[in-house]
Amino acid sequence: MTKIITCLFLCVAFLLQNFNSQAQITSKSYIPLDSIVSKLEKKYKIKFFYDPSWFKGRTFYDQIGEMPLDEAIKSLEEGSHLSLTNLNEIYYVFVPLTGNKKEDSEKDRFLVVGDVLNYGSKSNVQVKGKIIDSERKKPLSGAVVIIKDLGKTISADDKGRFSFVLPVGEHDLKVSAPGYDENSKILKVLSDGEITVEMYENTINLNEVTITGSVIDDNFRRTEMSVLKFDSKSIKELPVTMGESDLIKSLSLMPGIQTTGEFGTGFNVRGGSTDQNLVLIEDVPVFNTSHLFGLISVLNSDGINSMTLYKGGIPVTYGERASSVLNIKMGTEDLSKITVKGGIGIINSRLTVEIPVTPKLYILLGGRTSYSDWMLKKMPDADLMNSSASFYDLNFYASYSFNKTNKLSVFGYKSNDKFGFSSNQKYNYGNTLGSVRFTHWFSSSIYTSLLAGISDYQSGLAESDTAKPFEAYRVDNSILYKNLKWNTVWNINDKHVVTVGANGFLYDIKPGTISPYGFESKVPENSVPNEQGLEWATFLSDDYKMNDKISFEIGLRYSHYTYLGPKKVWIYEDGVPKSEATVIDSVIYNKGDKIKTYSGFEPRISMRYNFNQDNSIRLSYNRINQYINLISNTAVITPSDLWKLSDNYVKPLVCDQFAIGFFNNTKNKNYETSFEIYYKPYKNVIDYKNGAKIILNDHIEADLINAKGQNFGIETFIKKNNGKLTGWISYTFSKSLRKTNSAIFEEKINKNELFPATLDRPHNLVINGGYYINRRWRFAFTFNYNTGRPVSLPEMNYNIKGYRVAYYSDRGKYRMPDYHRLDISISRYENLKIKKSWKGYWTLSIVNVYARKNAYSIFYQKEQSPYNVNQSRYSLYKMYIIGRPLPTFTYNFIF
Amino acid sequence: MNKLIVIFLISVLILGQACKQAYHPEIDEAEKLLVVEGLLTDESNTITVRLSNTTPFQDQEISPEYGATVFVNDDAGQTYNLKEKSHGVYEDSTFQSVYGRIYTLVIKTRKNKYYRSSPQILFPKSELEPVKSIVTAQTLQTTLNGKLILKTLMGLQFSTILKTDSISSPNFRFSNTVLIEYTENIGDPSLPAEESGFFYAWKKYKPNEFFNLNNTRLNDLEENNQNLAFCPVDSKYFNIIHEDLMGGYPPVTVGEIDRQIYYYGITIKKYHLNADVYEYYRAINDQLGARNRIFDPVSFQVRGNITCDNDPEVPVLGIFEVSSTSLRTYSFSYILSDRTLNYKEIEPTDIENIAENGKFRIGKFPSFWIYDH
Repeated sequence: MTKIITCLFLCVAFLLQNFNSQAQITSKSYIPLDSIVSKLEKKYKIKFFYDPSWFKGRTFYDQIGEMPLDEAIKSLEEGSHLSLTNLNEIYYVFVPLTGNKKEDSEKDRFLVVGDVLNYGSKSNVQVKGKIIDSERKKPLSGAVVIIKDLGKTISADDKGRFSFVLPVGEHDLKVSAPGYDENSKILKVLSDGEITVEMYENTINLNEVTITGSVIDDNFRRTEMSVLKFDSKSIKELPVTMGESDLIKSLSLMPGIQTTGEFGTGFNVRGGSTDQNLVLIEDVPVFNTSHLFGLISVLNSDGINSMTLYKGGIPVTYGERASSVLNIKMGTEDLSKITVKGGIGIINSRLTVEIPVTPKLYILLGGRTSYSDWMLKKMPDADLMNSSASFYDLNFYASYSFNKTNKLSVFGYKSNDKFGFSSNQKYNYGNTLGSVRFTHWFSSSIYTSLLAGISDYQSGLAESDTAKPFEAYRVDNSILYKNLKWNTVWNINDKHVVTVGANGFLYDIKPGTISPYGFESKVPENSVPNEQGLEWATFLSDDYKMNDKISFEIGLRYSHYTYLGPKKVWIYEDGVPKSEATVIDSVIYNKGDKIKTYSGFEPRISMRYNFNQDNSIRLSYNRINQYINLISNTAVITPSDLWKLSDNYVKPLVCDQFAIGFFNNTKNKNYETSFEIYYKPYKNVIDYKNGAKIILNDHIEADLINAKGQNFGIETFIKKNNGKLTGWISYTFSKSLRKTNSAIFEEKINKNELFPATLDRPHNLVINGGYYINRRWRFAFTFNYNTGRPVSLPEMNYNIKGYRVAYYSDRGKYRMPDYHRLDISISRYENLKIKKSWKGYWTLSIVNVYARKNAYSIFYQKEQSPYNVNQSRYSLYKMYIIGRPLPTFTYNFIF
Repeated sequence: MNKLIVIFLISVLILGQACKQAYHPEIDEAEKLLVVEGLLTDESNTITVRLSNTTPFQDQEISPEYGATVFVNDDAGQTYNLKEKSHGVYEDSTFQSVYGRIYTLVIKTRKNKYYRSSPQILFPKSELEPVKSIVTAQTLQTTLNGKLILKTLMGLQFSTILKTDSISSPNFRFSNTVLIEYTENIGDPSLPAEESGFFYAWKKYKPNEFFNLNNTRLNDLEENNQNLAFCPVDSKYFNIIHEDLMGGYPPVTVGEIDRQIYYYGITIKKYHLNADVYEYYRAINDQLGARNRIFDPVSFQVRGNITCDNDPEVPVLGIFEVSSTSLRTYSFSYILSDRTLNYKEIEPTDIENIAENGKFRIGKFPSFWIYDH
């Protein structure tokens, strides 16, 4: 009520003031503007800037020069239909309006861009901006910036930055970001310059569910398609599974993305295997993205600034992997205060600290550690009871701005996982990542960045048998990856954004070293020779906006790969299955020798056509050559699986992807729908001979088959963005098929007929929702349905020397039972006040509410009493990871 | 904080309890495939080939392939015709093995389909090195109706030191057969006179769960320790086989039958294999040894060294093994109360050829009977 009265009072006062002003000037004569300006400049010691041609032949009431300054300005604006902007209390600039002048132009609604001294030198100028959180002063990535009067829309990048080329003058600016109040400004553009837009959190922001940070308008304006973007805020609100929002698990709830198992490591995008995803953290790839068998993603989400997944229409700046790119950017670069985030759960705890050391230096430190052994001790299975599992990860990010045009950022990451099945089989693996990036802005429209990075993945497997301690062994393998990336982006004008750059990647793989494990072991040390490869690529693209309706992004990437020595390359007899027995010769290459070279162009084309404000259609095509593969003959990815470079026998994977999508926003952008169709043919996708040996196989190429593949599918998605109930429904129909084409019997799979890949799960339905019971309580749920994945099952059995042995069906002939699961969570937020520094919330989540025993694998097992040794029978079993509701409880905080 | 503790405890209590469940999918009825178990050894100069057909997965029956024509060719141009001794079992006892010679198995079935093995060399005999034993305890693990059974038992661990340095293809398998000799006193008055009284009885079993193969990674070692078998000797084990010896369920009461272990014997055979046969057994072991671990390899079709001439795409299961053999036999007993171990090598006795079980009335030892030498 008080607010209403205040508003009424202000309105009345304003009207009265206006009335008085007008009443005063009606009785005066008219004079040119120059005269009035001179009077005012002398009287108030100020200076006006304007183009005299705008006032040619026009006069103003002479009393304006006698009025108080505020009134005079108002009168000039009304009389001229120009906008007058004050800079540093001395300079006043007339700015022509491009549309209707605002009736209620309040001072804080204006944003002035540029230097008045350069005013008028150019008709179109570069406007750079930054969107920040008003309270924490941290950048907001993915915010949508719209110039309403020009119909221009752009999405802020991961550092909250955006850039427009705009005509000098006044424009209507609107900025929106999930969880923040929409901010509208009148932008007064004088010359090239920068602005900062502050965004204010919604008072109920903690209750919002936003899966994509740059949805709605941005979804319509981008040329690119098949992209999922998450900013730091939307990452926080991803569905909670094991006590915290998990990046990879959340991704798998989006159309076209699945995981192999209940808690399978990695993810599969549009039928691509896990190794076809390029997961970049600060532009350095991470080779294993999971902790604890895949229960938890490898990166602590608290330190992430933004995350973008390209599952199609992949920009030219990326290559290396065939199916997708997940680009994770660290550090919110909040320079306003020290921020501490963390969570305490029953499986692990985490802590992240962001420190603005100086206005130029920002540091982020984060870490997680687990204490999950107790879970395994509860399992009534001898192997699991004697198992152990633990992990930790540490991450570091720092940025230093030398000045406005030069910036250096440094990133580091270290993780380690250990787990063992019983006391006899132990795994360990760890990622070490680091990068240094230097960014330089030549001008407001051109910037370039140079990055050097390193990624080191080490894994080990130790096996022992208490009855045979002398045979206990340990196998270690590793991949060392180094990259150098140069990238320049030039905003030529409002129609063209050109990107040019070059990348270089050096691979050094140690496929396996076996060594004795334990004091009693007599296993001799041995190793499979190392592999080295060099890949480089150069690229050029133009993001061209033809008009408001049509835009293109056309690019070309050229990649070149060389398999390097030292290496002994086996030569196999032609026409017979490759094996150790069919080796007829070998060639020895010295260090640095070029053994085999592959290269190819990788065109990228995206096109968007906007039917209107709400509907658009997009097309994309991309080709990617992949020169590195993960070799695995297990149903799910294991830490000890090997990375293998393309060589004389293992050819590079070539993946084309065609996609078309229709996108629609309805009801004031509250509902977002999309429909996409894709087709991905593969050449040289790796498959395996029956019984392929992966570990310590010096002839591994003999166990691999170059097959063809084709993935295709339809993805539908509908999402409700606002209101008490938010969420989405996604349905995907997809097929992932493979086919060998060999004349050699051993290299034929299913008689060279099409067969479903392990990842083929045609139907995928996800229903995700969140409901705000009130401002403190939020209920959320996720239902996930997948067709069971293809398996071979024992169809027949037979006797061999007294042992009953199963004969398996053709590959992928059967399917595991369909997978479905419901997870729920309820959260309580302790503090909703924006000004309060400590914000904490409790989350109780229950995974697998209705206790579905989803099959993880199917196997047959001999059932026999160890004492009744001559009798046995065989039964089929399905193995499942979670057979009952699994609750987790976590307290999360930020201050 | 109290609430947190309560929720934590609830979490622990209702955490998933089981990890596997019997699964009964609908399996297609697949076309029967020929299964070949061929064995040519220098042991008794015989060739034995068992032909059968696959049966549905849950079916335990064996479906013999009878009426086939089976012969073995060697690289010296000789052909050995095998005669069908019983349904699906073909033998030739006129065969004279020659080391270094290469043999090929050929089969023609009643349906006029021809099958052929890959050529197999008969390697020279590789003598089995002396076998040592130690008394130790082992925890045996298996499943019954999906439930885990664990039992820690005292027993003898048999092992040997392999000498492989002079052998060009050191691929071996070891086959062990254990003979349990015991006395049985049946005092059930309701039984006929010939079924009650005091007997010498025996039973055999194979202690290896899978094919026991040498570890080729260790071939270069001077002392390559090869585990052969673990044989339980304590009373718990005896109590359990007690039921088994009587034919299973329902168990007989201890009061009616008194059994006492008398002696054990073990025969250990070493087979010198061709590489493809070794790989076949290794693949079978991988399959038999699947322990439902999370990272188990994907199951796959295991095929041996036999193909169908009429249609090479038709899977043929089984193997034709050509191997030279060597054998040692040991007797042993272990008295738990005073930890006395009797263990000695005896004249080679092929326990494999003794009947699975049987008994003789006291007063007449069976011919193979092992006693305190």
